[in-house]
Amino acid sequence: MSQPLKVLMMGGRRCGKTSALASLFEQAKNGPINNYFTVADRTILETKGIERQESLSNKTLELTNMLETNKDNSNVFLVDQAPTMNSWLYKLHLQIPGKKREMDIEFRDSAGEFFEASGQHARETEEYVRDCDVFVIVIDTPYLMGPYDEATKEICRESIGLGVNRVKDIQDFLTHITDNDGKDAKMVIFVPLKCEKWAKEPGGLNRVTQRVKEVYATHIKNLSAYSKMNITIMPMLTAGNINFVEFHDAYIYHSIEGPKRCCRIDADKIRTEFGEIEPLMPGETVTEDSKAVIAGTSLMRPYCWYQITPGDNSYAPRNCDQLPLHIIRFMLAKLIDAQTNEYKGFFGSILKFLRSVFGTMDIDELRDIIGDMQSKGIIKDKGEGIEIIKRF
Amino acid sequence: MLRYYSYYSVGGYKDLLLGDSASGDESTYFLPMLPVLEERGATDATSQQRAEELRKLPAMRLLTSDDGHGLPSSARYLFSHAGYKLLYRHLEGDKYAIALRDIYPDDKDENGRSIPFLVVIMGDTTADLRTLDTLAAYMASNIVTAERTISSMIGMDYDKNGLRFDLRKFNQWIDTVTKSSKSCTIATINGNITIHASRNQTALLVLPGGIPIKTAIAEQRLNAGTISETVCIDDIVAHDNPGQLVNTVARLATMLKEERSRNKTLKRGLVLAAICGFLIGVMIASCCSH
Repeated sequence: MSQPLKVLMMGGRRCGKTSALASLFEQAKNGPINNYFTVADRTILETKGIERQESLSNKTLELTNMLETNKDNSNVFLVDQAPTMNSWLYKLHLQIPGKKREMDIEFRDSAGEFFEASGQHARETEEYVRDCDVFVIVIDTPYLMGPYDEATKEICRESIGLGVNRVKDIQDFLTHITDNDGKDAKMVIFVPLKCEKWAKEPGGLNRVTQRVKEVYATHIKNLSAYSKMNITIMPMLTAGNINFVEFHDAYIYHSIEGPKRCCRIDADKIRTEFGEIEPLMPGETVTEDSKAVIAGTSLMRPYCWYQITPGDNSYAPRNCDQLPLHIIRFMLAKLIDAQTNEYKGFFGSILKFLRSVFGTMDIDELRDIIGDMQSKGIIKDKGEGIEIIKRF
Repeated sequence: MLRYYSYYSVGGYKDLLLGDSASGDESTYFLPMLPVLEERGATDATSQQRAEELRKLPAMRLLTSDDGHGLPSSARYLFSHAGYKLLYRHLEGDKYAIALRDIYPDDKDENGRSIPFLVVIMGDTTADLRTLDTLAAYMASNIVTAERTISSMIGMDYDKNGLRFDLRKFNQWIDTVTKSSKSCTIATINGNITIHASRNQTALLVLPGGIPIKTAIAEQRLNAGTISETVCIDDIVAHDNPGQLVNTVARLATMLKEERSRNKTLKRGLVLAAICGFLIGVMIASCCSH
């Protein structure tokens, strides 16, 4: 397998695809993977017109800055980091230390608009799906759990949750996965994000996982039909202490300084995006936020309001190291599978020898790495909501 | 007939048909709230009334993977990919389009961000070619003015709670430009270039600063041999950007010095003199107007 492993980040607008990718890179470069590989970020940052591809380390910095900025803020507030507007490639390079054994993993991160099945980007996204090996489906957990929790099911109905997470559209896109008549292994990982609130409840992450299995049941059933398909659910906490608190209908406050997002407290008061309660001044108006309409529907998404854990604004990501570990384990298994099929017979042995001399990963080395990772429990296959549904 | 398209962010980027040159409508609207109000209207009279009012407004059309509203699929890369500042090219059949991207709107969004958009002006008959040639030359020579004008004609209308495009004003602007500017010529530091579109050709590619042509070719899936004129935005003698004009003059002076030291021709000196003369004329005119 001389081609890079290709990973596609999928999910609706503002669900956290880029944040998940940033955490993955952070953990790949600084986490337990370093015991086995030298990891380097080999991304070449592109410019498309005026928009410049952002480095993923900046994304992590946005998160840590938000925690720091809201250190003494006990209010609930809106989170809105800069949205991705384009489609970008990021590249991770792995090498076994001291040896010329190396692999690349290429990640495609696209704006949420790319996952609208009837949108202008649909054909392009279908091409990406056909081209990729791993699919990370990022799920906005508040909208996943909203219809399920008693406190929120009125304001966040099932149809809203499905619309925000583009559940049906992603199901359609996944039908374009091609596995070369069963020869190519593929992997799908469902990654619920923004689940800090549920992580703090006993059994909360398991409930999230159960909900994923319910909502994405058709996806899982269809994917299971592929002979070499890995399916995993892996809740992730990219921040650790930014907790979902509540939903509110989406409004815009037209102040003299310009439009601002807010929610209504009552007829005369609003809560600004920073959590401050303000009275409406004469001449100021509040309208529903037309940008909260879910594309292609007659539904409006309520805003999610968050709060920093009282007394603890530390940056405490959890399970973010598992995503790259699972992807790398899959990559190694895929390579073993491909090479095992190639190395049959006399000529297969010669090919194997040549490969070992000229630098691609060797089967025995790969098996040792995987075995070591598993025996030391570095890779989690269960616990904290992690569940492997299918593994080839 | 000319048709106008845009890639504009309204709670996420949307590909929109804004309107056309044959329409008499004053404005067109993209109203994300309309389906919401229509649904509420089934049980709420106020929403029903509001929906009825909004339904009467001339609507923009959302482009989908199945319906491009006249825009051929060959134009897809104008929206989804970059590599150009202004592109004027043949699409297919009798369709030609001018695309101008990375235009910053006057308004900032609710997060204080100014989110860039693009506009595509497409002609669908050969009768539109003369208009498009003139318009492309004008826009390339007056990019700042063109951007400011276009930005002023599209933006959020909070009364209607949606996006509004001032179609009539836009048609009038195009009319004014093409009547007052008969020229299809763009002045650059390397001399004048004349714009004339033809089948299977890219008539004009204006590169953003710092972007090499090979990026544009790769992004837009162009055939290098079919690009008639390529110019970097910094090399255009901009009529409406004094800062850039001064930079261009300075670069030209440096180049002239170098050429003189190699005993080159007088041609660029004439261009420099013309530009200096133009500058002096502008200064005199501005003094006289005070």
